[in-house]
Amino acid sequence: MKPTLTLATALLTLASFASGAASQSLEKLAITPQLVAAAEKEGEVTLQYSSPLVTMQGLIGEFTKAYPKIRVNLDRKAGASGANALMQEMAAGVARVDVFQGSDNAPNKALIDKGAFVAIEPSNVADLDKVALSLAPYLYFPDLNRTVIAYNPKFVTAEEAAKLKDWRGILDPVFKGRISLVEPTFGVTMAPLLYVMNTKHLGAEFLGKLKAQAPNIYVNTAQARQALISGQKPISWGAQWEAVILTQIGRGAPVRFVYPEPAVEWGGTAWGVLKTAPHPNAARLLLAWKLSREGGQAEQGAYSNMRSNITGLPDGRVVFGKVKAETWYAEPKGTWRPDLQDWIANGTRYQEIWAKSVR
Amino acid sequence: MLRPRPFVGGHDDAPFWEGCRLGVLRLQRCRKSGIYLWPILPVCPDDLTTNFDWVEVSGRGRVSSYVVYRRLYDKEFAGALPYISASVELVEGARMTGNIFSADGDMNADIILGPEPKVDALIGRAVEMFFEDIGGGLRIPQWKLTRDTTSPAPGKGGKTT
Repeated sequence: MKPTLTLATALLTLASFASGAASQSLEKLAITPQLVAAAEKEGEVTLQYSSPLVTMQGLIGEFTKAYPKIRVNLDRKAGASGANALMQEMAAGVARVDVFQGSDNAPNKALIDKGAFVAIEPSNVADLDKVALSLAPYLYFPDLNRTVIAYNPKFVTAEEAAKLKDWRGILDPVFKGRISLVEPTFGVTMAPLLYVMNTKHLGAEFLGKLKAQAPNIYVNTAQARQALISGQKPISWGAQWEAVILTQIGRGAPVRFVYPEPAVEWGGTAWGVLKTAPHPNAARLLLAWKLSREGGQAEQGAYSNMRSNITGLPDGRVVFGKVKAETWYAEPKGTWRPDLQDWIANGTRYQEIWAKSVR
Repeated sequence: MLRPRPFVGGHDDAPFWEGCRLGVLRLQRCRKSGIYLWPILPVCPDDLTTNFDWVEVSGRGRVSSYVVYRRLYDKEFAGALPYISASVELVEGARMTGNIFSADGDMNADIILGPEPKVDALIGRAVEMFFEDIGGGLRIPQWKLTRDTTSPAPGKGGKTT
């Protein structure tokens, strides 16, 4: 374990990046009998979240097994819409949500700047990968996402799928009319867009060519998965992530995936405790559990299949273990991580370019 | 009254709109799992199968959530303010959205809710579907509060994604 002093310094450096509330004192967070008792006395906690419904229900089921006296109220508002709704509630003086989970980092940062979150240092902070600390001490990213290009093998041949490993492969005329895209208003759709916009041979020109491939454009990723599984649009490009596709594979859906080279990976969703949490102890307990090894293991369950940012936590994803043994599976040779400052500063501009080029 | 035009002509939506035209509320029901789906989907989220029947449903349900609009966000609702948009859970289980009308057919939220209503005044209230003609040959399902304030039993067979 690294010395605490070094960690505190690192967190303070990150805190200065996450401006707006940097003067807050850092609150230490650990699961103690006192915290559990206080949380149980409150009896409930409200989590506003972005993950898919079934994923979150499965994860919270594990939390409830550990803490059965605490009811978790789940309120799903995905991507930017969740952060924006919270911003409106804050402006109206409504204190309803205890814990926030958001995927789009530009609005996430806007919430930090508004002073929405408690500055927290979890007791196991030394065990978290640096990507988990990108917006610390206000928001933490317990999990690691990877972009995949998902396809339905009933409608896409192995030879065609191999072309998708190249980011420009999707422009092959063979894919015209067979693709779906999703509006880049979620972390999972923003992250690949950031790669496109930061790569010289891609950029806006590439997006224009993508439009010429006559894609269907959906407003959410679940619609794209429906089209993928049914075969209506057998390729979901720039909209799916490893965990959610593994979950579909685990359910027996006719789906495979490739990692484009390089594979885009980033801290999937950011979690934080609201300063105005009506159930402050239960909120802290939920966050501490989510950042713990137990929380990381729970996130690897069949309903979620998520990579953990907790260093040293064995990869217990059963579905992934099976997929790795398949002949069609190939590890990415390289990975690319978005610059969070670029995401925050330029995300809206990139979305506008996407809309102008692709819609 | 003005209304936003719904998108008609999506995948597999013809039986729904044909039902509306005939005055019958029909939903997709998965042949394998038996669950009713809304919105219309190409794949059953429960068992991943793709075989469905279009089945007439009761049109009875209860309000599971709602919001009162007092500000104009869509100009096509001009003249309708204040109005209520709600999620209605059918006795068959699927959840549909629509506007709430009083038992007398009034859409004004202040008339429906009365002065100083509780924030959850409509939660659980029984509603019945009726078709509203929005012009251009289109009719859409809407929801009218029943005079009987007893809630119907919660549905079991629905899936809303």
